[in-house]
Amino acid sequence: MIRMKKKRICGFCENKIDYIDYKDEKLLQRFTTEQGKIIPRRISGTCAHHQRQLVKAIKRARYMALIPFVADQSN
Amino acid sequence: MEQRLYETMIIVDPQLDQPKIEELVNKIQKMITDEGGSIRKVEQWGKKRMAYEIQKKQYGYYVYFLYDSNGKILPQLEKEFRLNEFIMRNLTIRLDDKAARQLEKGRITDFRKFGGSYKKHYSRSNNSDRKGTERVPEKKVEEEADTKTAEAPAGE
Repeated sequence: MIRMKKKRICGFCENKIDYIDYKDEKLLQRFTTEQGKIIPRRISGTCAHHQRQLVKAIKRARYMALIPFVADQSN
Repeated sequence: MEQRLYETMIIVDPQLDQPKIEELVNKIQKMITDEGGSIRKVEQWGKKRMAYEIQKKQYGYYVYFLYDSNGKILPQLEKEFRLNEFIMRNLTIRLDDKAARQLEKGRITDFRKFGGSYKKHYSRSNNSDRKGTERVPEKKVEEEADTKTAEAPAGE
């Protein structure tokens, strides 16, 4: 089941944010699942422009071990 | 000479003693300023738990530099990072004006404007991916047989 959340609003556009910092792990984790996966745009509602920036920031943060690549391995 | 804004973050071996770390930080600062750069900010986050282990270690000592430079120093810095066995990770990026302005504004503390967490909504649909141990045992086929055939189940 796909739930559409916040279809219209991009959180970053609303707050007029130009740059998404990879160091801001709290912010970044809001856009990743419990498993550490990146949440797709159709769910999170972010616009294309910010999603690209977000993904770049997440990947940098993962590289610098600020957020995990994979999380919640309850297997 | 045009000065560009750069940001470098390194993760240092946490078992290194404090004076050695200071020495390293100062060395890097000196390298930058010697080449005509100016340091805007240095942050030492200290020992931080990492999201996964690097070189079998759970913790890393994070150091962050924000500086202006003409860029000539970058290859030398990278060489230093590569050769120094105590620097476990490094990341250098160039910041443009938008980024600089955003960083000035500081971190976002009020998350309410981003709406609720999406995790609950999204993760549910992913549960089928996981081979969890709490899977419900399959319904016994006996029940179907009961309705189809008239035989009383003798307990198979």
